[in-house]
Amino acid sequence: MSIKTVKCFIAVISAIAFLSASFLPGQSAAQDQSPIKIGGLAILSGPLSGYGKTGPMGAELAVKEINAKGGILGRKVEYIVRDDEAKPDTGVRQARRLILEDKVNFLIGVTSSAVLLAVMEIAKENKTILVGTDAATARATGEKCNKYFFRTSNNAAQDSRSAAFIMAEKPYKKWAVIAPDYEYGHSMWDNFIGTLKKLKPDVEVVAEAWPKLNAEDYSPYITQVLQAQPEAVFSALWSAGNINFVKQAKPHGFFDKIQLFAIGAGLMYEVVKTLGNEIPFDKYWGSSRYFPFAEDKLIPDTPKNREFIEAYKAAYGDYPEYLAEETYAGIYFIKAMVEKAGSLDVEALIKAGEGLSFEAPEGTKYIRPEDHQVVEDVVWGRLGPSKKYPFPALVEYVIVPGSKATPPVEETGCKMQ
Amino acid sequence: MAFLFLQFLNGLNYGMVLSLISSGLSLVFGVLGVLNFAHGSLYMLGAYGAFTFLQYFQNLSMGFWLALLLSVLSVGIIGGIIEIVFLRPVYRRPHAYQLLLTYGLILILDDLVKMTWGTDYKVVPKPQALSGSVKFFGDAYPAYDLFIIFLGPLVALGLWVLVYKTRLGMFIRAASLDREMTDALGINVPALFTLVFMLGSCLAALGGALVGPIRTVSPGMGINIIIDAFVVVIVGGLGNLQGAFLGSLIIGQLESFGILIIPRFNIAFIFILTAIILITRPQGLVGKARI
Repeated sequence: MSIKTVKCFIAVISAIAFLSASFLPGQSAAQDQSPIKIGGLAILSGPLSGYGKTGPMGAELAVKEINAKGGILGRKVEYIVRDDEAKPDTGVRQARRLILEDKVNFLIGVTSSAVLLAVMEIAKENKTILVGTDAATARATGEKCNKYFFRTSNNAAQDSRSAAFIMAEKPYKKWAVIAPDYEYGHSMWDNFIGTLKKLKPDVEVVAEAWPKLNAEDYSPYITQVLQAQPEAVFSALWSAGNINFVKQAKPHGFFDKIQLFAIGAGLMYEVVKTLGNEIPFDKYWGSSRYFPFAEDKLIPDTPKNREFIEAYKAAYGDYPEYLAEETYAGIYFIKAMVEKAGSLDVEALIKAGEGLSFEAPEGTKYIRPEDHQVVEDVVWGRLGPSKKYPFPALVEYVIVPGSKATPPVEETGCKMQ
Repeated sequence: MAFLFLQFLNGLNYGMVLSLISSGLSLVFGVLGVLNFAHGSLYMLGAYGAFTFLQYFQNLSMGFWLALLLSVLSVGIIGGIIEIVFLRPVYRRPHAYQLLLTYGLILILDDLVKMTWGTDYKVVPKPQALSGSVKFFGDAYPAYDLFIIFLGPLVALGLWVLVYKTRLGMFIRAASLDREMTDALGINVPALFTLVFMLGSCLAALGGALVGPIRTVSPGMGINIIIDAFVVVIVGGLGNLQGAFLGSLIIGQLESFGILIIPRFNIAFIFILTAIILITRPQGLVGKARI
């Protein structure tokens, strides 16, 4: 290669470089018109897919509403959802695809706590904001917290602390637990019984039953718990687990003697709808992240909540599962965050998200700046046959304010970086 | 005492459900030489079948039993179609082909179930007569669970009589020992294989239809049970009916009493037992003596 050719080559290269550099501003101007992309992670296959798909359904509804009203900062919103199969390695792979191939601006969703903790690392690595709308492990906004992660749904500590405040007022002293034997079940129980014992020192634990997650036959555990004669049982069984347990426990005479408190899945729409009037109404208290259907009024009785339920029914012909509402709210959190920041600059977005309050169907959600955890009310209640809905509705309920349910920042172990 | 007795009944109940599933699995393996992964999916179809047929007979007093019967028969027919269309071409291929094929069937059947019935949980109501409880030493035990405990041995006995005491059973046993020879003697072996696979499918469906009222019916319910059923046939001896029954009884009691000994590790008991059997007695407790 002669010197001349080399010079010529360099000239061509620099010309290309110069030309493309001069196009860059034009390109980013064009980008401002391009859609804001949100990447969803949800369980879309396997036994949990029926429940998992309700998250994307809520997200799609929110995106449709936002786009109909002109988008966010004048830009359309695009939602791309991928199946994490409730497996950490799949979740990690799909999160990478969403960030690197689809070039999403945000990640949202994630149902399994194990998947969430793994995906959080990917989001942090790629400096992409991840909005958690379901997985409950307190560690995500505790010792594992990082500034790219926000959670707009309650965590295990809030759910179970709120339970303890309610149970402390009840007369029961002899308690037992039945919960799936993995992180979720144990952290629910530890938080609950720890708080309850502080509030009411004479509480006694008489039996612990730890079936595996998604077990189908609970009879041996039912007999084991009955043998210990507790007055109340704390259950963190999940979805089908809770349905199977209640169905199987009833003819064992469980509900003749024992009061059941079913956290999380107790008021899951899917569970309430499936069990229907088989629920032992007098002996069954439950909670959920969102179950607004009380016989006297909606909880909360706001236009936002009414409109959401109507829009959801119109779109899908069914009432919303809590996960639909949480993911719907998560999309609106992103909207509020972008509008407050005025740009898609990640640092600016994080600043905007911290301390942000926004309206969701279930009420005001406030994002605590120190750990990026939402602070919101928790509803516990008792069901009864309904004239208003085709499934049982709440006939008695207690609302624990978020400020009371949420552990103080010092207790979470979060050191934000 | 009463407590231990109830716990024994719980184990017996689960054991009998397992026995229905694993006897079909073992029968099909013993005769056809195919380890049918999709056996759990047929169990699932049995549950969905009972749910669907029950919609039509809700007002009949015998509605549950009619739905159960129709479901078992329809799954039997589906099993027959699966055998003729999918399994027949691969009998002479290596085992890996059959494993892949039946595994593929799980995915297909799961998706078909989702497309037909959706992903919502389905509820099968209990038959009126069995919805109550029976008292043992003052403690309640579900009448329906008790019914399963009685039905399990009856089905196992019926199957034993069919295989060991009838002319058809003789053909089945002959075919399981030597296909070619049985064929040469003028017995229609392909038809016999189809019949055996249909019978296996019916047993799976019966299990599925029976657990409908005590468990949720959902896509993927086959996966959970098939793992336990495999453990049962490994413990009892692959392809062996008595082994399947004995294995079911053992696994049922282990599930039930395991939680009392080391509450958090009862799942481990089952796999430890399986490992011990695999190492010390790979042919299973009863042995591999074919059907």
